[in-house]
Amino acid sequence: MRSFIIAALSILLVVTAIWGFSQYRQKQELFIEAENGYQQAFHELVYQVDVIHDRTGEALAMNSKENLTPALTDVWRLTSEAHNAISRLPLGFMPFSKTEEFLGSSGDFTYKTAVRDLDNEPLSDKEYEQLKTLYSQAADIQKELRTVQMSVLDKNLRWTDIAHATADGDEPTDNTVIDGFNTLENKATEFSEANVFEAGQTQKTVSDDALKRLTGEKITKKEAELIAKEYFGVDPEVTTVEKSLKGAAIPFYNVSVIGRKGEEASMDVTEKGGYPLTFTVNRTIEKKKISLHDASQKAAAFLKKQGFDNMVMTNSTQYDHTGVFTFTTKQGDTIVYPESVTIKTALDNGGITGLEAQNYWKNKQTRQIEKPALTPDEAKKKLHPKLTVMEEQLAVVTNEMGDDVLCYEFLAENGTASYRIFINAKDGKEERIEKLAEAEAGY
Amino acid sequence: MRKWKQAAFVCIVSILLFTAHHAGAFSNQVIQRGAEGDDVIELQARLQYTGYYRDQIDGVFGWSTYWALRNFQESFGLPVDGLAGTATKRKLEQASKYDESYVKSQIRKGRSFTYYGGADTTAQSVNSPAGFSQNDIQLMANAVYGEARGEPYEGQVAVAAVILNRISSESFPNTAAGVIFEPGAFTAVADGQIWLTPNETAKQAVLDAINGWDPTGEALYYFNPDTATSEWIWSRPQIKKIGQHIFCE
Repeated sequence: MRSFIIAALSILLVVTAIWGFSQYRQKQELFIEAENGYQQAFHELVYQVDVIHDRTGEALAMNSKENLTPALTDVWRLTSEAHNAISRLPLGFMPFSKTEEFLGSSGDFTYKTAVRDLDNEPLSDKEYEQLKTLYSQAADIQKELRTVQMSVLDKNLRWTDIAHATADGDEPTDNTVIDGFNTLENKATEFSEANVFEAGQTQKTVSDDALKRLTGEKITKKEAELIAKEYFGVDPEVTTVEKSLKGAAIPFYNVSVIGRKGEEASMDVTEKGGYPLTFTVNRTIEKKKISLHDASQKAAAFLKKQGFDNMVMTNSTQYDHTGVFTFTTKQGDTIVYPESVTIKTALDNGGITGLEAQNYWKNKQTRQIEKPALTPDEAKKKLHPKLTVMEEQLAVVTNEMGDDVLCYEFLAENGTASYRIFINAKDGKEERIEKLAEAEAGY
Repeated sequence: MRKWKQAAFVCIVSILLFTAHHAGAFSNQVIQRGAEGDDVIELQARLQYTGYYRDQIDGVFGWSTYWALRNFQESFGLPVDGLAGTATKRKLEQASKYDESYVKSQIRKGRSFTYYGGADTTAQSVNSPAGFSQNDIQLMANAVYGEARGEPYEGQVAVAAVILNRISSESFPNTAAGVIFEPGAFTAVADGQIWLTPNETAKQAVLDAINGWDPTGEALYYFNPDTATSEWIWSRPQIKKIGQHIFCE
């Protein structure tokens, strides 16, 4: 008996050892696989910055426009690849946003200059200066990255170790990589503070300034509660009212309420003036009882009651048992797209289950809309000849530069797809073109 | 024996009544662009029968259905408003035939059919917001569920909104997958919780965020103040606290 137990235990031991060893090997394999991915991303990044540096250097010396465009396009492509490489590195533990921002704005700058017809509009002196700065900054980044690369190769540093150590909150044993990237980030911060790419920099989608200009008396917590209750409809119980924190664009109250059947809802109301910013209700929506059309009329009535004047519906979509609508300000015969709100209606009882108005308040202003310089027919001539125009109207839209411009809006189709096209009503420029989304097939 | 005959008669009559009822099966609703469902299938089938609609019958009132309807209204002297109201529906019923059970069985099978003017049916479609596929939504729902399933609904919309704000920010990758799988960006990705099956609430939250809801006021980061290990995150300007998370710029 005893010998049997000994035999069984030793077999067990051998089996465990084999199992353990294969586990260890598998772990090692995965570990190496992950490490290789990181190494690839890192060395690619260094290479791409090298080439960005070289190519901008060449572009600076170029006199012919035929060569300049390909060089700029190349830099644009490389910035995007470098950006991609960074996003594959385990740098989540440290701030690295300035370097990425630098790559992003260099990309914008080179894109805008590359797509431009440089024969008609050659690089301005300022742009030439910007290109020069890009060159010297790429050199700085290249130098830092090379230093890091050197120590990574020299000391056989592993990205996986660094990532694990920092994720656990420990100091990694070798700080070269982190120090190197920190220096890089500091340099990039200097660049972005110097605002080199002012012209090319893409602003925040909408500035918060208009929010700060909203007028009205400061409201109290109690008043914020009342506004939220009114939006919710049936008398709910207020669970919490919190003030926004310091980083908010403007101070607001965040009110959470709970309805009789356990529906949770929350709403942000500005402290000054009590304007609704965002409102959502979460509840189970039962079987559809009312049509999308009726729901949109309920939404329109609700907006009117809440003081959103002169709004027309510009989009409507049904998602299961919810209708989602966009309403936009109409001034005279012109649609003002920047001033839009999104509103949600439940299709079981027609109740409003959400309102999003932050962009509306950021764009709301009294506008002097000038007369269009082009006639609709002149604008239509700017369209692709194969397009059939189905609808047209005047509209204000925000263009790529962030300016609000008066346009003719054309809804057109070419037999296979539908498009929304905005032609500037002043100079006929094609400001924006969107392919309109069709439903996605179920699988 | 007579009882049997009677029963059979009742049976036949009710079948006849039933199919007769289905010949004009439009419900009373005014059908509007963006709608989904049976009325839209019928609308598309009838528009196709009359030759105005050439796309797939998929049960979603999209742009091509909208143009077809407007063209139909124009040719039949109806007010051109792109809404299928009472008058338009009656005109359509007069001008076309509709075999509901046949069309629907084809749709269920996801099979092409050529009964009405040669166009195809497809498996019933769903509306998806511009720029995002159902699979993108699913992936984001996974992330939201993994990161914030215990949070209030607003907090789940907020996490989805942060993902979207990152996609449009220069400092982050430009795709949902790029943002979600950026190493170290989300704890749910690091510890594998992202592969839990998300519930409807998480999906709803993602849909709301894509449709424009942003309870965070354009936040790019969030953290749980009880468990955050990074000191740097505390230096970001904080916008709002929702549930366990502080959202910051």
